[in-house]
Amino acid sequence: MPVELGNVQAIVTHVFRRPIGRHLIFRFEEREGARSFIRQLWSGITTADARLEESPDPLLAVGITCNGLRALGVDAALLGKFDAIYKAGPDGQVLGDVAGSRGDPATWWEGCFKTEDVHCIVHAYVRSDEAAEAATLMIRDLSREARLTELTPRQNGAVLETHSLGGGKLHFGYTDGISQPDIRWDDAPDAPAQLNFRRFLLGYSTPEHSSAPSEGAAADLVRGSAYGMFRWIHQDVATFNRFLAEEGPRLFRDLAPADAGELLAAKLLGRWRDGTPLVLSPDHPDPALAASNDFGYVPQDADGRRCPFSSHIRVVNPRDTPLDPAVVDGVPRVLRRGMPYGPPLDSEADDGADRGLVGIFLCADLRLQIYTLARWIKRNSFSPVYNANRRTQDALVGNRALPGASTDFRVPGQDGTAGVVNLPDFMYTKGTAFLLYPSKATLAELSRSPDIGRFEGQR
Amino acid sequence: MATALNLTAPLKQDPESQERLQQVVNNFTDQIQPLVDAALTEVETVHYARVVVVDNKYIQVLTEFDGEADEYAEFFRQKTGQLFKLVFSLVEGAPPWEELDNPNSFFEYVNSLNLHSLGTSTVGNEGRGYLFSAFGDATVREIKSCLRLQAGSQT
Repeated sequence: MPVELGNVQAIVTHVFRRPIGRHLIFRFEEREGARSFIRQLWSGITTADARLEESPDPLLAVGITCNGLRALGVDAALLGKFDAIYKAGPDGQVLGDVAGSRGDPATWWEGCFKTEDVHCIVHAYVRSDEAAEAATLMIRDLSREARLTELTPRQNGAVLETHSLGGGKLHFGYTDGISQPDIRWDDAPDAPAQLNFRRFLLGYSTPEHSSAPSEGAAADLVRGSAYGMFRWIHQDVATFNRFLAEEGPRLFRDLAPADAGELLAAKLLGRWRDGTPLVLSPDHPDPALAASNDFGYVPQDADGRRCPFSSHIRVVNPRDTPLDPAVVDGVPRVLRRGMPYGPPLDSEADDGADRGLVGIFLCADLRLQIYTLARWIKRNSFSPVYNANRRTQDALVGNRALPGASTDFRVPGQDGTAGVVNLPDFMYTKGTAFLLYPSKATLAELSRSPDIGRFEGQR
Repeated sequence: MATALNLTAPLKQDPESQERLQQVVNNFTDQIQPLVDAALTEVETVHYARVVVVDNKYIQVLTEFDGEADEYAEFFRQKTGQLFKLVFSLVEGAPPWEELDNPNSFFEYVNSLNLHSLGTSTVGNEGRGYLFSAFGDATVREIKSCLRLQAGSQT
């Protein structure tokens, strides 16, 4: 059964290169209203076959939670066949959002509403502030007509807006979006570096690449859809900058303080801030290698002297690193759609502003892909390379309040001795939702009438 | 940091199923045990494991393992599927194995049979009731590593 790209939401297949994104969160209040909202939105949803560069604003995507599908009236027997983790909703314990820490799920959405109240999130990506306002107005008009309640995730009532910082940079200064899985969208034999589309798209389940619902009417309903985790993450830039300034020179005594800070930044991520992989260029960034994605860790860095074992990219994509026998499905891959929010900060003193990243992580199996990576981030216990201490965490992303976790970041030097620094929290979670990014056919079925819409002719 | 699996399921009571149960009981040592032994040795996360039949009415698969409740479900489906296929064929109300033999259904069904322990978790077993541990949150790998060190220092 071939994948029909005109049926798949473009957010699943493409990174939207528009500088502004708005993320509007809604609760459906009654079934007919919910269906009419989806029906009105339908023709405006950007699909994978669209020519994105030429498409007018906004590029639109919509995700629906399990509670949202219930509110839309999806039959309970069909819903029962969906991914167990999607149905259960995000589990802060598994995701590392430790109760009592700043990422405690009880504090998500700035306390403005509960995660289970989220029924759908509409993402609008645009080129200008004016277009952002226009898109917001239009989506809000539709939501009012359909009697939806908008859930504002900020106590000051502001909309959640992501804004490019320029140059593909995120708040810690790293270049984002270099490594994305290469996906084969048909059933021609996979090239070695390519991933089967069934790792990301539902309704094509096979014993080898399984997803839920796996067969029958429920699988028919979701064909061409994907699951996604919406994750709102605050980044503490002042703490990060202070950490580099204080610990960099302590670890790398031979370097000038600024260079030592830069090297420590690279060690935390596994790439220099311009994207150059440490494995390929351990001593300095190299513009020719900045976009490089063609590398492994064995044998050139089997001891982590170039790229520490707990560096972020080595944890979430260990590539050819040997894995524990328990990891029966290999390295889980997800599709990342992330954009920063909040003003930049170039200081070691916090200005109190909220800044960070809004990420959408797409997959076909939330437990085997998203939860597995969350566990590897929380505790680096998935490969024999961590045998010296399997309690260490992802150097950038881990929540240090996790019981039993080690906050040591071990940075082996070229002479074989290792420096160790104590990791602070660099970020915390402000909200998480598990969504279905329905295909156009799925959306049509959910709304039961696909032929009318305010977006007619826009695509 | 250990978690308990308290998988508990009612057994079919018809004579044919009860006869098959007796076959499983009689053949467990020779046919099932080696398979389980090999898988659990390989995974290095399980502290203890056993299978219990209660008055021919219930069957239990009980283990204490490192990690979270759903963490190794896929490993156990792939490596010890034969055990679960056999156990579930004797269980009242269990869906056929063909329906369970995929990552999501297997996890979901095992999870639905996994009873909470009484009380409140202290170390590990997060959110799944009280589980005493004499070793704090030490893992199988950490305990084995300590034992190896001790053995080395004594020779």
